[in-house]
Amino acid sequence: MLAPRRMEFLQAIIGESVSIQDPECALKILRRLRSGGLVNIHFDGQSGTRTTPWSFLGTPRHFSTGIFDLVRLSECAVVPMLCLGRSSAFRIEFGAVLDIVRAAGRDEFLRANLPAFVETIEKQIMDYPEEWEQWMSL
Amino acid sequence: MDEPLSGSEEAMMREPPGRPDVLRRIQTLLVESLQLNLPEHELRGVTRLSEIAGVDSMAAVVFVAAVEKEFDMVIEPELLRLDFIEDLPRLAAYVEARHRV
Repeated sequence: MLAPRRMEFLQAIIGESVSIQDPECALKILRRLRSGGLVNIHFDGQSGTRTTPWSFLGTPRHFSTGIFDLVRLSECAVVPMLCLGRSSAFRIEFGAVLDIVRAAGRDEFLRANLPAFVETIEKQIMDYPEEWEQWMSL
Repeated sequence: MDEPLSGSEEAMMREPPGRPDVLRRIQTLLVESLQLNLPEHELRGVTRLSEIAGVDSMAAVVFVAAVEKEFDMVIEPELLRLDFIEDLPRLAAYVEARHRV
């Protein structure tokens, strides 16, 4: 659970953020998407109450499945984003829109799309290994 | 402080409570969409999402999607709030009002 001070800090920077502890978290994200807004989700994070195992950089790792529910139910576009550098000097790169497979069921959608999501961040990490701070969680 | 009501919500609030069959369909959708193991007699007494153990934030979104698909409608973004979604009779009244328009 993120400490209140850290949440306060993030809130000040981002403007509006939701935490997994918020009982309205997913509804707020859907509301933002339906209103034509953008949502930034850290796919390589370790939060989430429902996860699924998948091979990641040659190691088993659990990925949150909530993002796949949100993409399936909102039918939003997914654009990979990569932030490089430090707070004093950074740049943000956007990748090509992911080709989402529109499978009907929850499990089918997850199976059809998880590999592409994982491959995307694997490539980002392999391209900039010194930038990724979560090696210790592998 | 409560958020101001939207136009559609105000219209819905003036409507009488939803017909029992709409509420029943919504209760059934709740069980089916969330794959709950709830006997029929217990289901009919459920009027709020929070009365069901294990219903989390994502479950609310899954439930919303099921309601929208069943009634062929899209709930306005400003109504995607837990206090609105979890109140099943209120949701039933809203669905019925939308179908009368």
